[in-house]
Amino acid sequence: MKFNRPLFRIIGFFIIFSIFFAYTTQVFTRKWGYQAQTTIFYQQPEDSIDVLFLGASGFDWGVSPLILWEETGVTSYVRAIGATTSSMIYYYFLESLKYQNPDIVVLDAYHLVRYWNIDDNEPSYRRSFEPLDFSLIKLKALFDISKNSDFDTFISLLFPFFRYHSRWSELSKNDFVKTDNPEDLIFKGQFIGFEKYEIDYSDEFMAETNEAKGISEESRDYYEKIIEICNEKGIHVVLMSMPRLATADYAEYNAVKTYAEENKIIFVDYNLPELMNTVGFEPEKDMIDSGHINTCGAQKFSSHFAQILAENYSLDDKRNDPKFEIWDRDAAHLRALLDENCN
Amino acid sequence: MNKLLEILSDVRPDIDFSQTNLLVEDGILDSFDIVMLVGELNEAYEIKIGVEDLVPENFNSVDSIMNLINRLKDE
Amino acid sequence: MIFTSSIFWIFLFIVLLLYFLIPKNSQWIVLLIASYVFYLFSGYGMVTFLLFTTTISFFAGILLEKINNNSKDYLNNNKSLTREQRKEFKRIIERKKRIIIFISIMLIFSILGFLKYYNFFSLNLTTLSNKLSVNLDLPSLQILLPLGISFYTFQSVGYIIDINRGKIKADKNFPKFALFLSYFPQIVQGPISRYDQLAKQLYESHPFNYDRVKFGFQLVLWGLFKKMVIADRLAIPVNNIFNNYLEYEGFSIFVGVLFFSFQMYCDFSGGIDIARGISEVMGINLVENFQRPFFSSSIDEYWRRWHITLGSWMREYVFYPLSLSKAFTKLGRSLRKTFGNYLGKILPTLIATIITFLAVGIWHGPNWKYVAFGLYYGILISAGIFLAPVRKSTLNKLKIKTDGFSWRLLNILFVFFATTIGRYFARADGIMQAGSMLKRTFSVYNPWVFFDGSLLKLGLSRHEYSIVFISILVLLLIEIFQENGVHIRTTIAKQNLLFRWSLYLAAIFTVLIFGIYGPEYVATDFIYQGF
Repeated sequence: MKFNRPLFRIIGFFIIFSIFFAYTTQVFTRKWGYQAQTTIFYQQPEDSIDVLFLGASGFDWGVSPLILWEETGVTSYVRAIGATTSSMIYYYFLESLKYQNPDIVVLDAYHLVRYWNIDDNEPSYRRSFEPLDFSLIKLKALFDISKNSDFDTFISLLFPFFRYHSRWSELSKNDFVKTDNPEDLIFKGQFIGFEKYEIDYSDEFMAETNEAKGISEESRDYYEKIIEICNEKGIHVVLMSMPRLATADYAEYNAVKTYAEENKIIFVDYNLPELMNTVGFEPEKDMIDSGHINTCGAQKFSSHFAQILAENYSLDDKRNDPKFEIWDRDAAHLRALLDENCN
Repeated sequence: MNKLLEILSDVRPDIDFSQTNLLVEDGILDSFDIVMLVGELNEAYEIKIGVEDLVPENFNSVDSIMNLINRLKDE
Repeated sequence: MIFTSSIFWIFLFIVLLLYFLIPKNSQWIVLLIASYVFYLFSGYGMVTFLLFTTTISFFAGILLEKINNNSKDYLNNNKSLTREQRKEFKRIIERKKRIIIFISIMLIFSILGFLKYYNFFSLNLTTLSNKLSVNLDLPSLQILLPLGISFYTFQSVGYIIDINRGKIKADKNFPKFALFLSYFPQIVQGPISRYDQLAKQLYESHPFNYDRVKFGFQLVLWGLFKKMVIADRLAIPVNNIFNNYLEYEGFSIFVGVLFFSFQMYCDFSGGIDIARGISEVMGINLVENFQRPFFSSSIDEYWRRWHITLGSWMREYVFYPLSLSKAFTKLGRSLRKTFGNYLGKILPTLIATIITFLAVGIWHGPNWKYVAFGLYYGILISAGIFLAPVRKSTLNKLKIKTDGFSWRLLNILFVFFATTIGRYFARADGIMQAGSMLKRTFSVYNPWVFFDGSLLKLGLSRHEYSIVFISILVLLLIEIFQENGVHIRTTIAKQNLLFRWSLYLAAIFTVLIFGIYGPEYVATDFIYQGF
């Protein structure tokens, strides 16, 4: 073959450009604070997670895999992005199956009654989409979520740099070096925080009604796809909702409950006052802000949820498996934090 | 020839026309000069220089202007 | 599909790939298809107007050439004709040709005239008729202008006239001719090419040439830099000031107009550089449209360096024919009798100049402000010609040195100032607004706006201003080199690989990072929308 010098030059330049472009993208892309959760998920040993939590920020703060481990010896992981939406939950589900074979998938029930597309809520999608490693599933997600938007949306999801290039005037240390708190890395996706926010919620909260409404068509379609795949693979699906003291609505609860019954899946809604009482929820102590519970509260809810799982499914207790010793160590670490900060 | 040089120096007294041969292309003569020059030439030689003749080649030097005049006189 | 949109770059990538991969002799077909695809992006219906103009000028060209050839043959075959007979024959032919030219150009111009200027006329006629209490009520129409109509119209008219003058041969191939009028890099904003400059290049085959491709992309990058980093950034304070001019006065407005000068230049010449760069990649040399106009030391020099192709079009097809027309020759003669030699000689030229610049003004758009714009330049340049002898004797008397750098700089600054005044008309919404802004500029003395942070309230942060100033400095530096005969791209090509590639990367990332494109990133838009 003849040595084609211009061609080599062009390819060479393109490679160098791509390296710079990749680095620049990394620096300029907004740091949403969800990268660590996703990266650590990729690092979990293959087929080591039994229960997968997929949802939004309620799960990040309220679900504690290490408490579940303490209580039942089941391994779990939280993949939840603030204000994500059902379409992205679906792709997170597909992507997770590439790495893990869970027995149970717990979906955020709240997202059955909410849906928005990327033009309505761009940050929701970017936060969810950008942390993912490149894969066919990510590409599929890309085409799906940008199908009703303009071409520039598509391009700027594929190359986030184009969306963030004007951040040059606000770049900070955070953008150049990873500043993950190493402590966060051991909590299996859970967000840790012990600040207290005294919440004063309405008397109308979860006022009972017979009305049932609010299921979004789009979300139903995505959840149905998840359930179908789970049925094929023998994965149990659970619908769960953490307390949303500002927005929970009884009519929506009714709608989701009917949906769960139709599909014969367990639905746990921690907005129900009687369930809150059982758990021992204390609104003046257990919230970190108006929308999320703190780690002290998470301990209570997760402990209760562990019992529900144990009652309904035969869980694989791995507490005596030497391969999972590290879970004991991490759980002890969390326990120490809880002892120090709660009560 | 002298008549032509006279007319030329009347239009642009600052230029020694016998020395240059890229009058238009070097930007020495601009369009205003050319238009005024054409008016003078038409008058003096009783010719009719048309728009189609206004190309740089016809005005780049005294010789080329002379050629143009002679050509048009023949027609 | 604008040059800075992502879809355009994908389109261009596909076009270039096809252009260099298909057999060389059908490259022009790729260009033709690409040009029409590009055109269709601007709206399906619009293509009709382009095709209409293409058809008219194509057949007018063939017809004119046929007449030219026939008459030549006739004269050659009948050498025995007397001089008078030949003259008579020529006169008849001339009249025939004139009819064809008149009809074809009228048809072509009437589309432009109707689409671009109808509302202007109907509005003004209605206003006028109301004043005369005739109460004519012409409706105003919602008209979308076909992409590039002012450019392709002028190109096709130039083509017809050039054939008539015997400068070029008529094109016998309709698809090829259609490419000449629709060639996509130049259809949006020119340059207005002449047939003899462009057509042959479009039809020829051009093999892939690495150096040329490299040079072409460098020019594209330079254009993108001017347009996206400087022009689109300056657009923010410029729009702010012009859209709310009643809130500003004195230096604030002047700074806004000054910014607009740079915006306008960087936007227009940047777009031209992109068009020329893309063409260069494909082996086609588009004619220059700008030659560092801000270095001009007289107004008429400025118009020979700014929007060159419009200026030269106007010179060839308006100024010359007008000046040499029978009416103007007669006018000159009679003026000479009344006003003496000097005025008689110069007045017709001055009138032709003013009319030409009126045409330049009106070409820009249907608005009285462009009439004022044209008059302003027409009068300025006429005054320059008219006063040249006075100026000369004054300079001599005062013994002012005119061969030094300082004198040139003074002239450059004067031209820059004069063109800046012209831009009040180019950018303001209308002639009244332009007048009001001029008044607001010069009736107030408020130099403190440079120091009290007023300029930081125009939509650009201190950071953004730094980018603008550094970029303009780079632009100035490059242009000073070019003024002194340095060919930048050849000079770069002589440097070593490390330097060159570093420079390319720096340039690319400068445009990518500091260019204004995409939805604005506002951190607060992105604040956590929790629930």
